[in-house]
Amino acid sequence: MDIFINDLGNLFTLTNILCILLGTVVGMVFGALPGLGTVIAVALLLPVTFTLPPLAGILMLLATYQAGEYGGSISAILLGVPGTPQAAATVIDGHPMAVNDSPGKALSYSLLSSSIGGIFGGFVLIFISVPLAKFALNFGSPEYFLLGVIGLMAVGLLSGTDKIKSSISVLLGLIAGTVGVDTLTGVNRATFNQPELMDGINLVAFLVGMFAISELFMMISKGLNTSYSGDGQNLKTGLTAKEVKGIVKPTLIGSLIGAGTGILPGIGGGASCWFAYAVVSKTSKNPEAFGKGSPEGIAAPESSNNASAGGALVPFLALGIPGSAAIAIIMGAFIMHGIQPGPNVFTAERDLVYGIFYGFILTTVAMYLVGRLLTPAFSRVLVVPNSFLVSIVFVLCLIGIYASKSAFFDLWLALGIGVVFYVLKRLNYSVSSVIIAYVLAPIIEENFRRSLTLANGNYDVFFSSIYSIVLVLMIVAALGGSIFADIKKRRTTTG
Amino acid sequence: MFTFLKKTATTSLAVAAMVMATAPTMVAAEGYPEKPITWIVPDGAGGGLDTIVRTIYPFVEKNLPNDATFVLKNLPGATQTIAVSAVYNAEPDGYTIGQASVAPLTIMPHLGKTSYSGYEDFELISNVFDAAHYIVVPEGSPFANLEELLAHAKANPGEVRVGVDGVFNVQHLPLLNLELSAEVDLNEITYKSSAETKKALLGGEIEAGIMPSHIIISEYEAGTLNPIVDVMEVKPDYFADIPSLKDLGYTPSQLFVGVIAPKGTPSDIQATLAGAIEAALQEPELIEALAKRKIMINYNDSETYLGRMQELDVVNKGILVDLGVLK
Amino acid sequence: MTWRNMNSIMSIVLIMGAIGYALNLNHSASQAIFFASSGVGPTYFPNVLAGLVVILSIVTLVKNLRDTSDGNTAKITTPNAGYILATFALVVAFLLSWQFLGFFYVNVFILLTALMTLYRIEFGFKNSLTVALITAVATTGFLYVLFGQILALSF
Repeated sequence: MDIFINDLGNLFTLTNILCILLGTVVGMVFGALPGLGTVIAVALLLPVTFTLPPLAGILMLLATYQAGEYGGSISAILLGVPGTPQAAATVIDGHPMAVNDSPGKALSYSLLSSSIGGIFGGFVLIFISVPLAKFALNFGSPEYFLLGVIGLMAVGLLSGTDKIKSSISVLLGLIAGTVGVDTLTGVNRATFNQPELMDGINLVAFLVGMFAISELFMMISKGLNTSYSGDGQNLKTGLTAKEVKGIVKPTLIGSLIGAGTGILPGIGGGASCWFAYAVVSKTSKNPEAFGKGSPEGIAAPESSNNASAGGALVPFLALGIPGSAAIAIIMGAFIMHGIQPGPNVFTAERDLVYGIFYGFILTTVAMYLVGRLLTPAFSRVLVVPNSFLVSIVFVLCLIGIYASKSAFFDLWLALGIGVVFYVLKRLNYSVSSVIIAYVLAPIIEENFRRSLTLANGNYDVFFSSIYSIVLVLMIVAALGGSIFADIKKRRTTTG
Repeated sequence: MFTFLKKTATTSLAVAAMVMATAPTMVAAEGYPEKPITWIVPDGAGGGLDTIVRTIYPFVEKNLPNDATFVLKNLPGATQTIAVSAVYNAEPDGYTIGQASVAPLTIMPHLGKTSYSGYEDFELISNVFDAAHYIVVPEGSPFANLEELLAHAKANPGEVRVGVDGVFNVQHLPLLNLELSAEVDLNEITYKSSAETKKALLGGEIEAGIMPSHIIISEYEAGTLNPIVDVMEVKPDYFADIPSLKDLGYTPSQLFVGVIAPKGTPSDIQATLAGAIEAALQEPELIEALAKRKIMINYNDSETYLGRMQELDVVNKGILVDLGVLK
Repeated sequence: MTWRNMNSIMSIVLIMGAIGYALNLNHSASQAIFFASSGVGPTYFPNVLAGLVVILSIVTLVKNLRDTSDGNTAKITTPNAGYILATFALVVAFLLSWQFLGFFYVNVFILLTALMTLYRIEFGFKNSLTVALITAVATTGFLYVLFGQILALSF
């Protein structure tokens, strides 16, 4: 197959470049603002694309999507507030590094690994999208269930000092994920007669309440007229060759995991960053540095969420299956231009598709350049006194929640969640595992029950394919490994 | 007991609302509209229905007098009932209208999940477009048509797995009805969205699935998915030679999306709005934009729209009664 | 309040929350009209989860009550607690006013002015009010241009 675009000139037009730059800036800024996020950025730019040529419009949305994935990490690193769920894992090491060491460095680590992840995703898209999309179809409901369980085990690895409190946090996340109308039976579950809860607890309200509002209360305690790094030192953003070398391995692992989970519609970036974080923290030479500002702990989730952005385009383009809300909106742009994503898109719209592929890599380059340009400015956020930060970020959070669904209910919910999690945080309940449990809950439960329905109640369904057997073996191995490690640890401490 | 009380309360409220609504509200449409009209969209920004309304509304604005403008308000969720409730609770002054599909008007009220009691609580302005949903089988399926599928299901109860994107919705009810009238037992598998159903079909997890026509065109052309029967009444021209349930002697369902207004909206304002929508749907530019997206424009005036709604409501209620869900 | 008391209160809140969740869940499920033919029902997982929260919270509660170390019996100190409460109250007032009266941008302006004046009061009322007004005007203006004009969102 001739995978090289006939006329690269089609790609490097002024319109395309300007559209990519606009999308990048909008995506990065919206991603960085807690509550607004990628989906809203893409949705808001969608009408603009109606008036543009197809390639330019689609590249603008892809640039927004890609930059939003990175933008979410900016606030995760600087404020400890992930702008998007995909950036939740970045908080664990990104924020400590920004506060204790250097915000500029933390952002640079994130930008570099995000860009590498993005380019990796782009290459996956160019070279193996069709076979990969077919491969992804082998993962049915039983396999999704097992993947969800593995994800939950990855959360277990992150647990804090108090194992029981961490378990309660995970359970709270799972419970939050079950609220709403049950997909399989239509039963209202713990909706307390609120129509706003029928589709579940709004992810944006949950995320903002849990991370942003509670963190704003914390910031007030830290002093209102001081700032994180009061002296304006350590804002330089350059990385030395040695520092770059240190994140090569985690970035590659993250990219692979990100692209691999990205191709599975419905799992996506929200889970992939935790997989990557868990794997890298377990295989690292300095496991004790994790959670305290390890560069590897930034590189792994960051590369994986951007690689999953490229990965998510695989089933979307090759099969017409959008894997996330943002991709579904991008699909709207395709349809609006009369293009049907699916098996024929590679032949019927050949130039466009390959334009998108190469354009996708271009969006990553744009993300890197715009990021380099804006990073110094972003890192200065930590020099701004808390009085300004708290009041402005609070207002932005509330707007972000409202913009997603125009529901006042969500605003009150977020405020309530913010207060509860402020207290939970102070009592050492681990908060970061709540969000991943919330994301995984429906994946685990629905697919478990759907698998049983598919098999008319027969549990053999979880061992019926080679993929499910491999996943089961992985679960068993991981369980065995951690039990073994526990025993070993106990022996060394007692003897 | 509580539910009984609550139901009585809602019914009496609804009756009160209806009585109040019948009081003549003869606000002259002259000078209408004097301020922006709110158009409630039951879908999130960027969603399928949202982008359709966003394509249509400038053309409706153009065909309204007095430099009319619309303000779009997205109220997604709960099978459109949040948006439809917002229309129900709005002032019937002609400054709030809403987009609505059939599920929030003819299914959800029967399930007791709404504050309003049904389509009768609204003024139906006009229908805008129809959609078709097909029973689809993957490439290499042993079933070339519906008869073969039903025959196999009859011989092997519970063996044929059919994917739908939710329960008690425009896909699930016709499927249950088909099972009742053909006396077969299918294994209905629920997915969260048509995208998930499509993935399951392509991955061979289910034998058949119900999917909207416009998202399977590419697969149909490539031969990876084959629609075998239209579940809805209206057929798109690109699938014109595929039979519908009606062609095969079964009761079809309907899926149409129109514009509604709060009960008691002055009738001349309703006429003004309907006229503008009708004129907009004849603009070549809009027709082209919607055709590109495979939207089947189907303008119905208020009376036809109401007639179809009544007919469908009877059918859906009948299915729910037959299933034992309703008494 | 000591850490020990706060921990106990939280455990009790969690237990009550889990029970309330389970009660509401099973109540609405008991009115369900239709269940999937085979497999695990809609209340199975949620009940397991709620049960686990109750059990683990009881364990936490007991552990906490038996923990009489200095760290646990110390008083909780929250610097700027008054500011936190004031912020919370102002946000509640803002939400109420926005929800029931409307005028989003006016409310944003007032909220920002109030918060900033309060936060910077140590620099003197006049100074903090001036800075607050400038910040509020700039931010509200930016929000109005971005959301109201460019993105045409209605609040």
